[in-house]
Amino acid sequence: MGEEKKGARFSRRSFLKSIGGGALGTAVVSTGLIKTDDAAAYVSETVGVGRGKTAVALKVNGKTYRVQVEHRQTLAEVLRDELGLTGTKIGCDRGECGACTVIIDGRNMYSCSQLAVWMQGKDILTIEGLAKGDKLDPLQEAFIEHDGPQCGFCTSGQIMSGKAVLMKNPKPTEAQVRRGLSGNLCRCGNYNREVAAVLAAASKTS
Amino acid sequence: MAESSKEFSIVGKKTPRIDAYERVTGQAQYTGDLQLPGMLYARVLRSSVPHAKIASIDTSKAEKLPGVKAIIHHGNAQVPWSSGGLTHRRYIFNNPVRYVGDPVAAVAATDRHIAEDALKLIEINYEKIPHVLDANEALKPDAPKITPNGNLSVGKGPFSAPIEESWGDVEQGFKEADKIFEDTFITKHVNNAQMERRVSIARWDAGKLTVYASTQGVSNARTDIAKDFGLPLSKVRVICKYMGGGFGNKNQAQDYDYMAAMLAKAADQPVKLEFTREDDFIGMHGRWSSEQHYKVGVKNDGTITAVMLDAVTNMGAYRKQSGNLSGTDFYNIPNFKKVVKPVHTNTVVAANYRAPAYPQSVFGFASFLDQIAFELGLNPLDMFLRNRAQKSKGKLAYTPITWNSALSKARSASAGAKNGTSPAQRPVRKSMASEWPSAAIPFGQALALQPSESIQTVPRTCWSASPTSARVQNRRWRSSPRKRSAFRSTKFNSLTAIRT
Repeated sequence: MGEEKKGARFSRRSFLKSIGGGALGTAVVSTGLIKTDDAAAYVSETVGVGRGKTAVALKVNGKTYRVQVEHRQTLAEVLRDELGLTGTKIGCDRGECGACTVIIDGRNMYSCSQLAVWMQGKDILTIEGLAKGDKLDPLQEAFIEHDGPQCGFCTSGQIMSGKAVLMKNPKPTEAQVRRGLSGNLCRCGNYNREVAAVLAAASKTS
Repeated sequence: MAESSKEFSIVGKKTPRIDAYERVTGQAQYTGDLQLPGMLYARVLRSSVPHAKIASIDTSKAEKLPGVKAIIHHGNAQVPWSSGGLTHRRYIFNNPVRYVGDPVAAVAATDRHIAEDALKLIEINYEKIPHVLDANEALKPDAPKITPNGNLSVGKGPFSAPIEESWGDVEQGFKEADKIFEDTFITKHVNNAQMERRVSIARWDAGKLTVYASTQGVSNARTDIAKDFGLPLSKVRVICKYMGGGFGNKNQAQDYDYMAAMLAKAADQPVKLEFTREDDFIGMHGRWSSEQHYKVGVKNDGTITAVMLDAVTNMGAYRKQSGNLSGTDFYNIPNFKKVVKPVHTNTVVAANYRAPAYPQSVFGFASFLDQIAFELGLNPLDMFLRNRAQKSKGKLAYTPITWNSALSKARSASAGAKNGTSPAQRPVRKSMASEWPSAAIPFGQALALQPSESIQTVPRTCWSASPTSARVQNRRWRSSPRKRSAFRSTKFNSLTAIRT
């Protein structure tokens, strides 16, 4: 299943195997490729890889959570399954659709492509952390005003990418907003409304 | 149409979407967000070969993996999936397997990684059977047979023959024509690719089955499940939470609903079965591809005298829905004959996807009429207006008010652009978001009127995701602004780009 091009592609699992669940916390490398022609050997070798657990302290939305995470668990999985923060969605689980976007140390990133064990000491912001009590973030208000969500499944990711744009540049141009949201797919086709919402939030907060 | 000056308290006022707050705060709960106590996670193993008999399936290694709670396959879970196959019997696990992606087994485990690990430990011995992937090849007499009836998809009742429709006398119509044109248009399989991956959660309580399904058809799913599991309706409950996109292909119970239920029964625990994105592409149906051959007779003034459509549609390994092509519905055609042959191939199943039979053939027929207008030296918009039907099949009126005002606005705007008075100086885009099929442009289409007065209906779903059908449009779509203006300067430019 999906392992047909061994050695040709970089996958989360092959990367995990190359580091053996040990040397964690290193930067992403491109040498985690497996050179084997033996599919059966490959399959049996990858079963159970990354099952070891490590305790991490995750700082999410200003709160610190101490959790035991499997080395193979992504940040998206831990947010959703362990912390119950299901506002972060998983659309593709391979860093293409952007539904899982969260803000890590000020940058919007795909949480499906970050291992949870790498997150020690990072400052993570999810959709649940935007509102201050009952007071919505201006960007969330703008998304309501401009009808940003349709089915709503990409909305959390769109908002987090939009928030990252505004955190970096409070007065972005339309082109900058489009570029900032370009990693977030929307299959209902609400792109123009999402861009309008980010621009409206920018003008509101200034 | 004149704008009304009357002020209403609600009509004409902006109203926030009723669930917008939940959706922008992450509180909206989708099926995949649900966690039931003691819930297991399931994954599906799919065929890696296009056509094969499963000689043996060995799950012993997978069963020994700690955390694995249940494994089902055709040997221990032979549940029919009635809405999954209309012309020949389909089960949730089939033997032989008939396409790459046909489900072979499903595993429920204490977490999704263990379920994925277990899939790798299942050993399957395939006896390969010759396969056929192309619809035209599949119709040849020596092609490998995918169903007992052969590859032309025929069964009982409404599916006992290829789709045929005719009226008038086409031969007479071609005799009356000044010119006759023939051409072939193809469209490719398109996957819905909703943002939400498919997911189903099943739970049994004292013989009562509850399925949390991401479905557009809660009632359909419930009746399907009750029928195929042999349960009274009162014992089946289907709940749909927030849904991450549907686009027309979630109207029945799906095989993963059944798998979740069977796994939950086997493990005696609630089960969440989630597709991976890859599962979604290879294991779930998309829009049927087509090859449409048109023969069109016209008068020199553009009036259609006769149309013949001879087409094949590739339904994949099983027949779930019609496989029809209906894009000619929007035109007055005095003499008409259509034969559409739905065909089985060893490819992923094709079935309903928003306005099922329309975008493919609106693309084909509307494009062809634009080409014909070009050949005749006519304005494509005038040609369209000359031939467009006022009523659907001569009965139900299309919605002429919005349609005409949209057309006249587009026409005047494009005239302005041509004279250089329009500030935008760009092609005008009008979308007709109208109820299918009661309007001239099916849902999911965009209508563009160019400064050249070329009218283009664009099957957006084909256009956005199908490499072949959209080749021409994509090429222009991606062309540079300078090139676009060069296109605009062409008087009768039949296939022109749409700018967002």
